[in-house]
Amino acid sequence: MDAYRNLIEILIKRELGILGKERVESILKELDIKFDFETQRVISYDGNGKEVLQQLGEKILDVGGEIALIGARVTIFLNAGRENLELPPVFS
Amino acid sequence: MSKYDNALEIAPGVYWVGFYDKNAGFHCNPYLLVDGDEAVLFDAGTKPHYEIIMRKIMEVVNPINITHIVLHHQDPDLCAAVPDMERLCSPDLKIVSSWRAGVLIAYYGIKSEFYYVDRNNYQLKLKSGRTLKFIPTPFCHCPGSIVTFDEKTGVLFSSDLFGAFSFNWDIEAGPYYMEAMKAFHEPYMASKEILRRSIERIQKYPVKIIAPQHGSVLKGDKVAEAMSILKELDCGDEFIPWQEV
Ligand SMILES: [Fe+2]
Ligand SMILES: [Fe+2]
Repeated sequence: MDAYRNLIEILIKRELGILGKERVESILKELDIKFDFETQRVISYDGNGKEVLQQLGEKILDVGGEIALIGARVTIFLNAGRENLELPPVFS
Repeated sequence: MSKYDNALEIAPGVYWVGFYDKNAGFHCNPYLLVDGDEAVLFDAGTKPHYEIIMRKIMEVVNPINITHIVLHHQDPDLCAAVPDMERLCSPDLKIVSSWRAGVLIAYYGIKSEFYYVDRNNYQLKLKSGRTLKFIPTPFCHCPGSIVTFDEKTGVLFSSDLFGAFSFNWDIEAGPYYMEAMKAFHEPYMASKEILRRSIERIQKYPVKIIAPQHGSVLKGDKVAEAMSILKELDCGDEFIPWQEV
């Protein structure tokens, strides 16, 4: 895991509210992201965090459409700015 | 057959009369308040859902008993059904809104007379003496936005405030509701300061239940929790990543 862990975690938590636990669980399974629903923490993911964030954003768009991603954009931008991280294209 | 096929009582004499679509990420919630032989409809609803809403209203009251339709602002998701609805309501039906919103609401082709809350001390007394209080929430999200507090039940009909984007919709807010609520407010409310001022105004009332026009009903500890989250939320113009053109 890398510097993107926090952003990935923020996005997953937000989508638990928007898409609901069932849909989020199936997205995470597909992307092989391990998430503890009790503590709401990311346990692990493979590869480059920026790419994982891109894949997660794409999946969210597939499952819920624009509305699902719009609901996360403000907080993702804000937190990326605070942490000085460049966002993947799905958020532009 | 689901429980959402019928009107649902969310507080004594207060009913959710909205539509339910399990694939939708966004739900609109009209509410009906029944007070003796008088009824008040809040944020009446959309044109496509008019028939569903009216069927649910009819499960509870004869629409001729509806003496007031409160429209908290001018958006079509709460006003567009009114021209169809008003034909079945009381001949003395009044449309309750702020003057600022009423100017635009009139363009739906509504025939009924308006009752402007800002010309009536921000309250409406029903025949029984029950009082509905209106709280101005300017620019949340429209200039003339208001919300309604029902003193008898402690229900706040909050319109877009406290609403949410939620695919996993339920009438009562679940464990992840606060995130869904933030998702709706961050890109929709004008600014952090503006939202904070409205929430502070609302906090002066003893709210027990929040009935928003989108998302789910908030009860118990969730009422105070939602208010404190919205008061501090980074939202609106200064936080939205606008693309420079
Ligand atoms: Fe609205
Ligand atoms: Fe709305």
